[in-house]
Amino acid sequence: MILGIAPKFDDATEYSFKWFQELVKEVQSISTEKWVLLEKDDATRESVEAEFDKWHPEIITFYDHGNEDGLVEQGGHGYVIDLANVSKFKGKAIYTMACLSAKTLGVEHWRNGGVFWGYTEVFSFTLQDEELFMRCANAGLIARMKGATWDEALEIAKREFDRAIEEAEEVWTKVWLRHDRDALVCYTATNPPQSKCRFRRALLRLFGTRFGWTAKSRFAGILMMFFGLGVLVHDYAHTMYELGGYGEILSPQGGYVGLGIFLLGFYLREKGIYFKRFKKLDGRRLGG
Amino acid sequence: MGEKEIVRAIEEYFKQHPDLRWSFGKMVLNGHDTIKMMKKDKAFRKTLVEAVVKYSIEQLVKGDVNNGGV
Repeated sequence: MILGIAPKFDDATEYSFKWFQELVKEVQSISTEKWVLLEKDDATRESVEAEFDKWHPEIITFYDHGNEDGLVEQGGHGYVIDLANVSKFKGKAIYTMACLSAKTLGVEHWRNGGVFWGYTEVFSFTLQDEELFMRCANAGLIARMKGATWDEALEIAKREFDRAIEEAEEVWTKVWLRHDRDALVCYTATNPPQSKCRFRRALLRLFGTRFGWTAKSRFAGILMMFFGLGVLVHDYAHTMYELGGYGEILSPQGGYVGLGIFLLGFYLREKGIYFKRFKKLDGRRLGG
Repeated sequence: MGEKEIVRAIEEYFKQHPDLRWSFGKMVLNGHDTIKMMKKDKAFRKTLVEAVVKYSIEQLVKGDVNNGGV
């Protein structure tokens, strides 16, 4: 079962909608896989979540607009899938040509055990050679439906881009095909995302892919902070011991009050951060 | 060749090919709009220049491999 989502509300989605229809037609000609289609005004967050709950499709296909945090719904004011609801689709494959979506949303989906096919940069195409771009954008799912693994499908799609670059006559078509080809990624269990962050890369090397990508930088910061605090408390207790032995350590000290205030302040701050985070995500859900 | 020269060459190209239209994400642009966007949007200009440079380098490297030098 494939859940196909295709809004149509501006110039660019006129094209992506056409490409999506071609994709559906082509997949139907080579496979018996059933489609649930949410097109134009049906391409909304509510419909996507409802149809997903009803059918539990293995693949979710989305054409077209997106950004780092989400895939844009009909009308362009909200998202069908974003960081707030992507965990709902855990373990499933998301196939999209939405711009930039592989940057953050794709990584988050992959962290949840899913496959993400998408682009790390803006997807561009020339209108006079749109068929070449359509062929390349659709190549991955078609290859997958023909029996290739996702990793193999990525290689096939990249080769399709190379062929299209050779075939194209207009120089800007060649430039954009190359740009799109290099922005295309498919995150799978065997092909994890690459990070530009040095600390993340160190974590990945030290602890492996799963933990390296799951660990948040804030978690590492808190861990380091408490380790440092532990060293400080140990040093303080040692000084107390030298002054008056264990009795001195156990007696009420001003330092302990300071430590208590510090921990209370930390607790209140963390509570505030969580509160703000949920509020922000909720706001994004409502307003896009 | 610096960024300025590349931008100038792109502008020249669009002046010669005013019918060329493309979609850059949400925007569908013609030659005139592209030149206008390049002037006011730094990120757009950067992407365009990068795309041109990367493509050119790829072609040069390819030429080097296939033809034994450019």
